[in-house]
Amino acid sequence: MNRIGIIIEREFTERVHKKSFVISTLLSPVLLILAMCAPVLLNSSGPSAQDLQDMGNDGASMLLGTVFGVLSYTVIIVYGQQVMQSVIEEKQTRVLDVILTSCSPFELMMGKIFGLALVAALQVVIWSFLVIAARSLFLPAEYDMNAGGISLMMVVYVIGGFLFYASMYAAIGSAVDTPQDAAQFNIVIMLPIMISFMLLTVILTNPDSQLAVWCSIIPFTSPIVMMIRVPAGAPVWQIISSLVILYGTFPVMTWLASRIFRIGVFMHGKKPTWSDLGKWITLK
Amino acid sequence: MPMSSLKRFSANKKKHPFFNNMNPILKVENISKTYTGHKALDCVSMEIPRGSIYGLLGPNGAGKTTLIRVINRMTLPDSGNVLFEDHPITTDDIYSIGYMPEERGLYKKMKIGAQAVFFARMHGMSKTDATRKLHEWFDRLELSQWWDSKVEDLSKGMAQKVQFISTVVHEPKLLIFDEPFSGFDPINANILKEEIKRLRDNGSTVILSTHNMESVEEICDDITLINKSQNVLSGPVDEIRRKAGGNTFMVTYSGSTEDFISAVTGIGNLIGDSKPVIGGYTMQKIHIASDDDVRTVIGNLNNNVRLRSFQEIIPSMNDIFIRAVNGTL
Repeated sequence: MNRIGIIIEREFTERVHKKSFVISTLLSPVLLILAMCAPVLLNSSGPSAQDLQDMGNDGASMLLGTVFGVLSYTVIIVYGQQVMQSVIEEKQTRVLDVILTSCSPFELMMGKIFGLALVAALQVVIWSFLVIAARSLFLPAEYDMNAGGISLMMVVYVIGGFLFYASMYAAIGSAVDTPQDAAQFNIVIMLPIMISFMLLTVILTNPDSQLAVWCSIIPFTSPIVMMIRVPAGAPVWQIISSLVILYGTFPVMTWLASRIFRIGVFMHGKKPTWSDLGKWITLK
Repeated sequence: MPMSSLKRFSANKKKHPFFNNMNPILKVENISKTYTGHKALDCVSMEIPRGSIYGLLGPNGAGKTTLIRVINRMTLPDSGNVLFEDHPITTDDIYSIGYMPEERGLYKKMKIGAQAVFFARMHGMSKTDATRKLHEWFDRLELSQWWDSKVEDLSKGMAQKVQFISTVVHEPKLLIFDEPFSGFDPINANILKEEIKRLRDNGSTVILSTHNMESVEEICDDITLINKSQNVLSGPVDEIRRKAGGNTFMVTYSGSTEDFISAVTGIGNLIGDSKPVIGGYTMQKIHIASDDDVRTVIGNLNNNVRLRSFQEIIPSMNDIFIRAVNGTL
C-alpha cells in the first residue's frame, strides 16, 4: 500500500509541475469557449448569445451540457492515453524492469491510475471554478444553476469514467512495445467513448429519451452521456444508479486489466494479438 | 586436511569477509526455459556463495539475461527452482534485491536526484534516509552538481552512475548487475569495480553478467560460464584458471637443446617448438603431469642449463572463455 502511495506521489508531482499541465488547464476552457463561439462569430444566422438568453433555461442547459460533455470526453481520452503512454514509455526505457523489482505489477498499475486520477481531479476542480466564475458572463441571470452540485457531479463522473477506462489503457500499454502497436487495441476502447460523444446532439435535444437514459446508466457511456444530461436535470434515481454501476464496475475492469498487465509488462519484442490478451486474462 | 586445501580455505576467507560456503545465498537448480522453438536455458544450476562476487559469463544469446530474469521472477522457468537463503524465492525477497538491467532504466524527464530518491523509497527507505544516503553517494561519484539535472541532459556514463547508485543505495543483500561495465570508459569502469568490491566487503553478494574478461579476473571470486543455454563451467576463478593451465610451464634458459631435453625426458613433455628470445635465451613450453615432479625438473634443469625463469602458465579468463565456448577446454 505504501508503495502505491509513493508511485501516486511521483505521478502527481511530476505531472503537475510540468508547464504543459498549467497551460492545458488554463487554455483548454478558453479554446473550448472559442470553439463554441466560432459559429456565432462566423455565421450571423446561427444562435447568438442573445438567442441563448432568449431561449432561457433550455438554452443554458444545452450550453452547459455541451461544455460538460466535451470536458468529460476530453479528460477521459487525454488522461487515459497518458496512462497508456506512461506505461509504454517505462517499458521502452526499461524503467519497468527496475520498478518491478521493488513492487508488484498491480501496485504499479494502481499507483499510475490513481496518480493520474488525482491530476485529472485537480484539473477538473480548477475548471469548475472557472465555470462558476464565468457563469454570469454566459448564462441568463434567471437560470437556476446549482453550481456547486454540478461541479461536484462533474468531478465524480469524470473521475469515475477515467477510472473505468484507465486500467484498460494501462493494460494495452503494458502489452505493446510502441504507441503504433497500441493503435489497433486503442480503437476498441475509444469506440464507446466516441459513440457517446457522437450522441451529443441527440441527447441534448431529447435528454429523457430511452436512448439517453440507457446510455447514462451503462458505464461505458455514462460518464459522458450523464454529464450532457445533468444540466437539464436528470432524475436523482438515474444519477445514483449510474454512479453505483460506474464505480461498481471499475474494480471489475481493473481486475481484468491487471490480469493482462501482469503478463504484458514482461513481454518484449512480439506484438500480441487479441487472443493473446484473452489467454493472459485466464492464465493462472 | 591437506596443506593445499587449507591454504585455499584461508585465502577464500580473506577474500570473503562473510564467507560461509555451507549456506549459499542463492541456489539455482536445474532451470530450463524454452521460448517458442528456442531453448534459452537447459537445466542450468549454480550456487552463489554468500559475500562473493559471482560472474555470469557467456557469449551473446547464451541465456545470461534470461537466467537473471528467472532469478528476478520476471520470467517463469518451465522447470527448476530458485532458492534464496534456502527457501523458494518470494516476491518480498525480490523487492529486497538490487537489480540493474542491461538496458538502463531511468525516467528521461525526471530530475536525477528526485528519481534516485523515488527508487530508494520504493525499496523501503524513508524519504530523509534516502536523501541523506543519496547525497553521500552523489558526492562520492562526483555527481552532486547534477542532482537537479534531467537524465536527457547527462552523458551516458553519468546516467549509468545514477543507475548504479539507485540500484545499491538501499543496501540490498543481493545485487544483480547485467553488463555493469558496458558504456563506461576505463576510468569510470575502475571506479565502478572499486565500488562493487566495497559493496561485497560490506556484506552484499553480487552477481554480475559481463563480457569483460579482464574485469572477471580482477573482481570475480567465482564464475559460471553459460554457452548455448547450458552451464559449461563453474567454480572459483583461481581454481578454474589453474586447472585450465593444465600443468604447463614456460621455461627460459640458455644452453644446449640436448641438455635441456635430457633434463625433462621421462618426467615431462615438450609442447611445441622452442623460441629464441633476446639475450641469447631460448623459451620452451613444457608439460609436467605431477606436481611433485616439478621440483625434480627444476633441479635437473638447474644442473644441465642456465635457467633464467620457470613459470606456470595460467591462462587468462579470455582464453578460458574462448576455449570453453569452442569446446576445447
